[in-house]
Amino acid sequence: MRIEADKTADETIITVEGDIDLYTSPELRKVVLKAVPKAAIGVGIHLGGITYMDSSGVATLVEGLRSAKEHGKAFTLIAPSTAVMKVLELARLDSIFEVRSD
Amino acid sequence: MSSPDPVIIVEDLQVAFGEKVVLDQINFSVQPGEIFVILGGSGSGKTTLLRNLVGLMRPRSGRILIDGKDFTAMSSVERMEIRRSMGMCFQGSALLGSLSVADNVALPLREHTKLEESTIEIMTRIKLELVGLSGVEEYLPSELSGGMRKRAGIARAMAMDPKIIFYDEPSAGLDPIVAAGLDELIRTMQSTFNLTSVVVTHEMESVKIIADRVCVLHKGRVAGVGTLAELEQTDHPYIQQFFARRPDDSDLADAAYARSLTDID
Repeated sequence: MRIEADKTADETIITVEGDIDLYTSPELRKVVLKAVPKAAIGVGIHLGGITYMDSSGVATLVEGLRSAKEHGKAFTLIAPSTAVMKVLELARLDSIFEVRSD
Repeated sequence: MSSPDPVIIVEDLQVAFGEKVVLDQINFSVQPGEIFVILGGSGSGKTTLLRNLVGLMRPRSGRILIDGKDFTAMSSVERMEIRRSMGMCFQGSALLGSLSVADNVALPLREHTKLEESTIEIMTRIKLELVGLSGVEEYLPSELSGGMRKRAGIARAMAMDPKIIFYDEPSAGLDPIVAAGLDELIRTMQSTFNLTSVVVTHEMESVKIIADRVCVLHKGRVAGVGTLAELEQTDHPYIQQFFARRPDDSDLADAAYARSLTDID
């Protein structure tokens, strides 16, 4: 998994590529939970390059969303890949996230 | 286009208890993402085969390759690593009676990962939602019906997001409606996560719904491997008998019984 964070005036974009699984999701969690309180308006997680995501990845995104709500920030999934959407849909959590194409 | 490499390859497997050989000349492979059913009557060796596939028993000879690696020749540390990519759903669900349903599902994550408790809590709720058990997180296993316990067992087997899941007689002892619901769940899990699934069963109704391919075991040997349609076309007498649900020939059984008592042919 590769993570890159890019802070703009409004939004912090976290781009993730590769697999999000039991072994890599703790790193993503750390980056997301650190970025949320510091973001100006909100955080966007770019998930277009995700080839595999398991339930620990879903849980990490849910934790990011919870944290954003606590801090009054926006939390958006950007261009989630089919692998991401499929797992979110199965967990019936696709509708709780704000999603945009790019 | 060439077919993908098998996830599981079983080569010339022989398993014995002391001098008694219970599995012999077992050969088959399981493709990624398929539901592979091991079918056979009581005493055919199917549960023993499953125990070998998950590393709970060691064969006398032969090999089991998981993702190309010889599972039977590994050190216990290497085997443990491979077993983390496997989920096992035991026949009796094997839930710990003193723990709540949620704690049972969370147990493998707490034991084998460094995930934060908040992450584990969400993952557990997702798994219980997947198997249709939302709202019973705090129940004890004894407070669940048989079908619910099976579902909780599947949720726990899925806790670590395995690549391969093994089911031992998933619908045994369940009424047909609950059993059909479990068959549907096994199919949903397979198609959504592209899970390679190995199911041991003797229930033909389940086989018709879930199986991509079937391995029929008879007296510790492979009687046939193929799709259900392919196996229905074979002339193997045991497969024909099993599929037609015909009892053993009682005249022959009587003759064998008489011989054993009198030594007269």
